Amino acid sequence: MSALLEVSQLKKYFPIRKGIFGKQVGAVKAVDGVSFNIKKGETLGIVGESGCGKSTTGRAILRLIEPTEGEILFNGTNVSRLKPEELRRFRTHMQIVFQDPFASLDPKWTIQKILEEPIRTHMKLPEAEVKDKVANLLEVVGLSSYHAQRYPHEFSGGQRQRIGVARALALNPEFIVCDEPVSALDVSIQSQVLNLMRDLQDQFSLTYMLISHDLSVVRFISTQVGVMYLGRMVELASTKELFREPLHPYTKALMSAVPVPDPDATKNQIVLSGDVPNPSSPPPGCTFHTRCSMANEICSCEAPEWKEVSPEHFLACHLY
Amino acid sequence: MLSIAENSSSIKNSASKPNSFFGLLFKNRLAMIGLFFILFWTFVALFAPIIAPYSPTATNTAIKLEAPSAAHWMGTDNFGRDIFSRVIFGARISLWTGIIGVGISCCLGIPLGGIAGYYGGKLGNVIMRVMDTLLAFPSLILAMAIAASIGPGLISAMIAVGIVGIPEFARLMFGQTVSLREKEFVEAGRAIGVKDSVILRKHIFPNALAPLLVRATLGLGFAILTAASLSFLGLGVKPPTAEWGAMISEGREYIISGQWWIISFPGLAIVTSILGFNLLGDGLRDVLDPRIRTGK
Repeated sequence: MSALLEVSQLKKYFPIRKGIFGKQVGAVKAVDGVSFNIKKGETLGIVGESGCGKSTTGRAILRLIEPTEGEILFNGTNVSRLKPEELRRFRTHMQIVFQDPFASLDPKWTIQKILEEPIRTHMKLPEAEVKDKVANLLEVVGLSSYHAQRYPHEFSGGQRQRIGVARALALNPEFIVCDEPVSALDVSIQSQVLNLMRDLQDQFSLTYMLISHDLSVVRFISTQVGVMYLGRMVELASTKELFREPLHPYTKALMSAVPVPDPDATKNQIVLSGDVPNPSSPPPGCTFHTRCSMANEICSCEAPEWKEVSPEHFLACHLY
Repeated sequence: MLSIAENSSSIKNSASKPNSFFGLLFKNRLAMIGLFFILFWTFVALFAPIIAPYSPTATNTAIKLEAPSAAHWMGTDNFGRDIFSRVIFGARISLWTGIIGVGISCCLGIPLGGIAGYYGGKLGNVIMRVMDTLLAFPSLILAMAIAASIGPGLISAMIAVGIVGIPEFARLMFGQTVSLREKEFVEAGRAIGVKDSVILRKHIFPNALAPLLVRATLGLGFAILTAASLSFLGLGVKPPTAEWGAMISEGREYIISGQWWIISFPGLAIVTSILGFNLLGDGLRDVLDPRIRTGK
């Protein structure tokens, strides 16, 4: 299968301005040269600490945040070059599910209106058909059509997230960015929403990009996993391979931090010292070398190349 | 999955709409006093020809400067006009100036603030700096300058009052828009491909409505006062039209000679109408404050 989405050298720098004339004195490199492909029907999971640029990457692909540099090819269309009106129409192909189901639904609107909005924005349909579509969407995500007349505050977190998913599905997109879709939910509700997402993927042959800081969530639903650190992708491999044999020291540290539900299990946790460096002045060379236990001299002066160490396993580390 | 849907029907069935709003407002005693004054003056303005015993402009020098009596409840002025009738007809002009003035402020200030807040950048900066410039003038001085340059009259007083109020609404809407712009439901609208103008009108404006409503209510009182001040200074309505500010202006020389009623009754009318709008505005602010509203 060919790649549905090809992202290459995606960058997003947020300028830091100072003084009354707003002179630019630096930049926060939120995303700094990220490249990956996602094949049709697959799911790419992106993991990393808070502030590593996961969400910015997702939003830059949808151009909810304008990328500073880089190419985004979606099914042959260069998304990064679309003009505003072209982009507006193109949005039927790519959608997003937000992290916070309490903030992503307009509190003044009924569910009916919220779900009608995408349909009315892009299609001219008779009233009855719009109503049918909304009822259908609600059923698809496990709610009932009588919920349509209610307001968002009348629903629980899990139900709201279902509504968020329904809204994303309303335009029949091929690709959905899921920005921490379950991290605001209870663990018991998380699995329901994740199962729903997986069912919908099969049903509508969707392609996902799942952003999360929870490795178990990513493992459950992803076919590929990318690990990000300080705006850069450090490792990218199939889920099986990454969890079987993580190569990058940062990935190893992340894996070892996952709690094991066994009190007698031997703990050989890799504890990283220090904090994530300031993204406005990242350390030279490999950005991870300040916290890496295996760092050599070369790591502090030369940035590691992004290379394919084995088929479909990409890595940026001097050790391999 | 069906079971989840069913369970939800029991959740918060009672709070289907923010219906606690009026309940809380009615419990606010000061707001109710304010509402009473507003309704009272609205009623007076609507039925002025029926209530007023005399014509507001009919002069009769035989009965000039008469003290309040059974025939003339509030006395007569230096032309022998019935002050009671003039105060009643004055309510029409004052309420109209307030409504039109605040209307002008809202119609221009809210879109300007919304556009400046939503797009930001140079455009937003230019708009907001112009607003700051307007705010830098004392409001009455600015209103006088505007009214004087258009030429005195009721319409120019309304326009002046309206323009003076624009920056207040623009600033309020600007602040609301800047904070709402970052909300995920606005981002969701953009992700869907909703046009900016629709996002501004249908997502941002309704969510910014509460503070704007409070501001508009308070603004009505201010507009009435400014219009009365302009008339007092001779920049508002022309004589012989009955207007509270103009009546005080005309009657001010008779205070010393003891004819207190000429200015006292229109003054009382100004005080009660402005007090009404301010009390209701304060009450609305309290009721719409989410920290006080526990019902939601």
